[in-house]
Amino acid sequence: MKIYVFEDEALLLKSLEFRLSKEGYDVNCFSNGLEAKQKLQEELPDLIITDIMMPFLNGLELISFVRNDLKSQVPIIVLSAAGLEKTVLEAFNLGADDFVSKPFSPNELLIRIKKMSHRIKISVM
Amino acid sequence: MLTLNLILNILLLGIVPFFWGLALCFAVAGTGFIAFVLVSRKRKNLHAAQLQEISAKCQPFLTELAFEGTIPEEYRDLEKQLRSTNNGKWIILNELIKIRKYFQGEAASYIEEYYTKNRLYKLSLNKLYSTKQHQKIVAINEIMDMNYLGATRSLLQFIHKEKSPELVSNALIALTKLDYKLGLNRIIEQDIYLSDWFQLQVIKILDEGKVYEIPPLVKWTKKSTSHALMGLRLLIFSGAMDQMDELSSLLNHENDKLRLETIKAFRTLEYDEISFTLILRYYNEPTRNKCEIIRTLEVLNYKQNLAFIRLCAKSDDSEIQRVAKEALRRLTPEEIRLGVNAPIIHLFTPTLQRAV
Repeated sequence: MKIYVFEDEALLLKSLEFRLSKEGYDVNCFSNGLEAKQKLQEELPDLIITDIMMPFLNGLELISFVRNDLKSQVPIIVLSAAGLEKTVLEAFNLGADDFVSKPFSPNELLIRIKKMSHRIKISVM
Repeated sequence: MLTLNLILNILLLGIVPFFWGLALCFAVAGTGFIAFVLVSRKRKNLHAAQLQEISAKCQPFLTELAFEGTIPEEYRDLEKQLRSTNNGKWIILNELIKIRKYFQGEAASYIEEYYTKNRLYKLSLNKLYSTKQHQKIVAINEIMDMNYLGATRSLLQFIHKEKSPELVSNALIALTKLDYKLGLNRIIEQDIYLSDWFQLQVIKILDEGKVYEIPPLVKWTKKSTSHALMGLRLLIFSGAMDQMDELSSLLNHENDKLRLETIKAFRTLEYDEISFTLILRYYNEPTRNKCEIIRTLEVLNYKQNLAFIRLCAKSDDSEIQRVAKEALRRLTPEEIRLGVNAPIIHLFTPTLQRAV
């Protein structure tokens, strides 16, 4: 399963790449929104994990781009700081599927990813 | 005439070389200074690059540590080598603090365990005794982020000795995070102004820890107005309804802001029985507090409040009139029906009616 992770904090990005790769996922990491947009135009993953606050193109714009411009229904998990309730609601309105607030439990994130991948498998069948 | 010429010549001949010499000195000193700045900047950049390189080396094993709880065999030598020097320890600590902020749960516990087990807290505690204020702040934050319970004694000593109120406030917040009972009791004892920011931070910590056992309001009210305000906010936070007498007594406090917050507290706690007391207090309050009383009476379930709010809507004070009219607009027809029938108006003394 191919996962794109969009996160501007380098250490967190590396940590997520490490953890998800270890779980057997094919992980691609991007540290800014424009880079992410370009990659998405080339190829769509099976799952997107994105931060809200990102340089050049924020998470909300990215979700809108995936849903409206690319017309894709690829599952999107928003990973963002707590206390941004309004923004999170906006993300859901734009088409995000799940939200994990920072600081987060890596195990919880993994469970959510597994749940998503299960959903993907069912929809493919 | 000849003598005068001679004197002028000597003076001129002496002064001119003096200025040339001075200029030369400035040029040499200036060049030296520029060279020094350039060299030290280059050295600083080199040092930063080295630090970055070592930080990058740390990241893989710290990531493994966060997720797996152990450092894999292939990184152990590197980790040991880094830990053997002070610089290395600093770098590990910095990276550890960064990574800790992202995670909670098991990953966070692994990081905290590493910090304690490898005595990295010593670096934090050393900074606590530094002469530089920003280092002390860093130390307090590190101790708090790493949830290092062994630091409570050092924090208490620090609070006792430290003169800066900002640093003491930060240390009190950290202490509350590590041991909420000790922290809250220390806050009550401390002669310090408790700012709104400080109160918010403490309540946030208590909320995160799901701590609702708060020292009684009477302990807070005895100390200072800002302590009383904090006690009031903690009472609202904990939702304790068994301290209403103490809360009511704050309506007689000399501080306007504290009385305002007390009125709000009754509204938040929905303590209906206070309605009539609030109506009686109304007369002595400034406009801002009067408006708050109207808003509170609107919420409290006491049917006679409506008659009073209607009186307020006829007030000469435009602000009071506006707030009362807004309150009336928000009331439901059922509430209005009950209120209209309430025989409260005769209870208002002429003085009170005039005050409205």
